[in-house]
Amino acid sequence: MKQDKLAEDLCRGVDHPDEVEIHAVRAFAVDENESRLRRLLSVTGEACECTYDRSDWTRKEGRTLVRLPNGGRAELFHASGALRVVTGLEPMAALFASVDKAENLTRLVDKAALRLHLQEWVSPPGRLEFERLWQIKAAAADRKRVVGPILCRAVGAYRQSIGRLPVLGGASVAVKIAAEGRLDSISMQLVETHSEPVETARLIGAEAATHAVARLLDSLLGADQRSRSDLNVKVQPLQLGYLHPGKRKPLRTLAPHYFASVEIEKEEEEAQAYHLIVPATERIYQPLCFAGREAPIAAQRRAA
Amino acid sequence: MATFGIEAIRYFSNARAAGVSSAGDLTYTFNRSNGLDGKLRGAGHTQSFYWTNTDCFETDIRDSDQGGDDRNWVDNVDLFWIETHGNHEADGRARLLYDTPQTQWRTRSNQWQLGENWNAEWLLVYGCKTVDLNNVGGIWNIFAGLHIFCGAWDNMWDGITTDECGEDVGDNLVDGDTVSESWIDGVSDWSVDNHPITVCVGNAATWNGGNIRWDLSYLNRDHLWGHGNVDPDLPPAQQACLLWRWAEG
Repeated sequence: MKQDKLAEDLCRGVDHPDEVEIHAVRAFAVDENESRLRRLLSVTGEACECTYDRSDWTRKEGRTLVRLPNGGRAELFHASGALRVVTGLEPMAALFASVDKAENLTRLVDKAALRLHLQEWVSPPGRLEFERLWQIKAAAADRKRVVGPILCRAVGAYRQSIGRLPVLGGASVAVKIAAEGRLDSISMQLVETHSEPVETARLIGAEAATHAVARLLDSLLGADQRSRSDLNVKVQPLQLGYLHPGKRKPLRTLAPHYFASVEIEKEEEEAQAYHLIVPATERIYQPLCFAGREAPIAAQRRAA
Repeated sequence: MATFGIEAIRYFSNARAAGVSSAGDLTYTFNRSNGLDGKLRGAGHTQSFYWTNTDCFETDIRDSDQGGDDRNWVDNVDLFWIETHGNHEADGRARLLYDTPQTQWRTRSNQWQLGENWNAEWLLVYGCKTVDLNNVGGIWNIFAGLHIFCGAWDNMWDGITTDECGEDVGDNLVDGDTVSESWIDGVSDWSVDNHPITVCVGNAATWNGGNIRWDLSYLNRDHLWGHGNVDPDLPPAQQACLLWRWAEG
């Protein structure tokens, strides 16, 4: 794929604002976050018609882990305040009677979200909207025939937005349900900002961002692959959003980034899929390690 | 408690220079593999080996009967995690790329036979498309006592929002989730388009004439040693079916 084709595909249909707000993220102490987890346990218990009065709380390795009755557990990630409650259903229990239509499953996860009062967890200027339905299926086969698929779980992924931009990263909220809407788990990585933005920043254009993405891709593919002409490179148009870096990393500032999804295929070779992210402002508000970790120092292996 | 081994390849410059593959370097390989390593060791499990980059050899997973050395490496641990580029062949065999030809650049799953008289229970591969969803039987031969293969039926993404997958899988395993659930939940952030799948073998009681007893399967019952039930090995003579579970969105 030639450079200009890559840029063209990345920019296709992209219409981004000239400037966006930079937000400071409210940081909660562990005690405050544990109160949030108690609140989630309370609404989850109500939604499941069970009680989580009996529970065993421990803090270790950046998490608070709560053991619940019937094999359930809850988690709080101290760095980000991300929360999760797992009700303890066996993965192959409470299976759906049939593989239902996506719109019916979406309705079912929406109902579960309503029971969990999801919208109450997001305050202005934030909002939460359904993004995508996932399904966990299973099948089996002997030497002669295939049985299935069956539907094990439906997962509703919800996306938080702050002002005009989505907070991109893992799903802001994921509600996993079993047959008849029974709750399997809920995970949340929501951010709470101060009511007023810190400042407004001018965005670098999408075209400049595509050059940064192309440079990243070139560095991964090696200089000899610069033309990429013999590769089947598939990209999605650039997405603009705030970056949530994950459950285990602190988040102090919400700053806009461009997100590029690049898939590469070549016949008889391995498949490749890269999610490349570049800052969307000239000033770096959210310093992140985009370099990745290196290998641990280990004894060198025996000679071949 | 369990013993585990890790192999993780971030750089593929040698494979590219040799004209073997156009595979690009990865970025977050060691975020994931270090993450899993830390979680398992932190819970008291024993790391038997952790090879990286050109220290990862295809002979480590190749069956000893086929000129490989699996009895000393992959088949000598309970759980083995590898991260590299992958794909599958037209006949459903899984394929993985290495960055050194020791003795080949690639491994194909027709040369794997795990769990025979040795240890391997769980094989976890963070790499793209190792399972053909339309021909899962293409990897049946690898189950010679192995309980579950955790892989992907389409792409697995390298990016800053999937860099915690190793820690997530590790936390799930030591928190008491089943191995199957640990993998599917751990590598999914329900946003990036990861496509995990777990595949296992089952006996005649599980197949049950085609009325599958899902509750009896490894997918429902197997946990990491020390964190719940582990079902006994199922030698090839007792294997009546394959069962698989996957996420799609």
